[in-house]
Amino acid sequence: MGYGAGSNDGNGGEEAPQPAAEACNNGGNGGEDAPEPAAGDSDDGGNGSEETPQPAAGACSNGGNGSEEAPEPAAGVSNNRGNGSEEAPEAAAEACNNGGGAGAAGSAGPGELLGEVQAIRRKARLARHAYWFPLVLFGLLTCGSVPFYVLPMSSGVRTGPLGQPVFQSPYLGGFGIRSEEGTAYYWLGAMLLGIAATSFWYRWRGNRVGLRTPARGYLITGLIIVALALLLPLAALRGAGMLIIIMPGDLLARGTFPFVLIGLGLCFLAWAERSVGLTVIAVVYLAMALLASLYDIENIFYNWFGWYLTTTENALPNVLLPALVLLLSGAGAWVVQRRQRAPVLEN
Amino acid sequence: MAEFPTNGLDDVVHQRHRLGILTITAEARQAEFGYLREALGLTAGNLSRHISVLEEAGLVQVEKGYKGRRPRTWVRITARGRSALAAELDVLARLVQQRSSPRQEPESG
Repeated sequence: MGYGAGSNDGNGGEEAPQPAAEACNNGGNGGEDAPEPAAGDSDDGGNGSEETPQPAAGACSNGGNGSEEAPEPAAGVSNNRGNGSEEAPEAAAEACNNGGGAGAAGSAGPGELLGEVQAIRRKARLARHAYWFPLVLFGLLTCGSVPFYVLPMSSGVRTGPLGQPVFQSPYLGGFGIRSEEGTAYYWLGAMLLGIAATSFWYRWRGNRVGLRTPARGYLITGLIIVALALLLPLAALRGAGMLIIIMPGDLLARGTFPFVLIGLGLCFLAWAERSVGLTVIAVVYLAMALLASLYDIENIFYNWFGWYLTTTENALPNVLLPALVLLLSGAGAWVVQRRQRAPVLEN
Repeated sequence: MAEFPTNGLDDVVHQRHRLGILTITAEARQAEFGYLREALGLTAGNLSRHISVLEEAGLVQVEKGYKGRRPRTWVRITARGRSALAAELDVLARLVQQRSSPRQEPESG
């Protein structure tokens, strides 16, 4: 009896006494797993003939799975798409249900099939995971930004010849605490580079492994985030009432808001990769980025370890700790993903 | 009387290899023919056949491209394919549930 009847063998009604049931079982879904392939069938014939049963056994014609090519079904065969219990006598219908399902599914019970599906899914996800690269990339880009955070204090907002503010996005460069202009330019370039390189990386690796991650969404989302970071301050200038909502000063003042944007991008990547590991990393990093944006981490060093940082160095912990999170998690992910590396398709 | 779960099985989907194809393609934006063949342990002919069945049913889309001079075939699951896969897994889960909580019959003897 098959699994449909709740038995444990799940092998497709082989023991069913009714001829109709047996025939139904064999043909239910093309009998791909029937034991005796037809003579002369070729593996590469493109017609699934490798597992095609003896034509005479074809029974439950169900369309599109091997039994299509079988000749007229034998007498007493149920012609009801393998699950059709409506016209068949009850016992035969039950066996047909069992056989059609289980036989089609390769003599596997539902639990076994679900287990296989989960194993295949897990394997595909592991093969697809490649998030070590963006972690390391953005970690290095963050390290590259360090000079902008140790420069002397900015003298305020720079203006152009007509008095207009020169390029400055508080989202990317802070509020004039440090070299906000250089920081903003740096992060604009770094974000665009990081987003483009990450998208290219996923495309390259998808072609190499044979499984493409939906990274286009990351590219689009990343570009939208960068565009908003540039445009929202302009909107805030026009509507002063929105200023406090659009530009929460506490969050932007230290010039580390790009880390929050990177964290949001990582959250999107975690969703695209369907990776629990990257989700955990993204959440931890996002928390670190928020801490770096809202609090002077040097205070922790001073209070706990008695380390005193000079005024030019005091922003370093806010920059280096998020970078460290990215670099360490990226290195760890690289080791893990290297171990689980999927076979690369032949070129 | 409640409908028996197997009545919800779709013959096109309820085949272990086709279920595997749908599962893999649901995990990625596109899956390459070679990866599917390796992952499912199928011959090229068999895999091609199964993909054709799924394509005819509108559950996957096939795109052909090139990598250099080498042709490559990419398979993408459709929204209908996702629904069919979800329905299949739902039926299987219900069957497992039904089996794991059978009617308690008194043991003989």
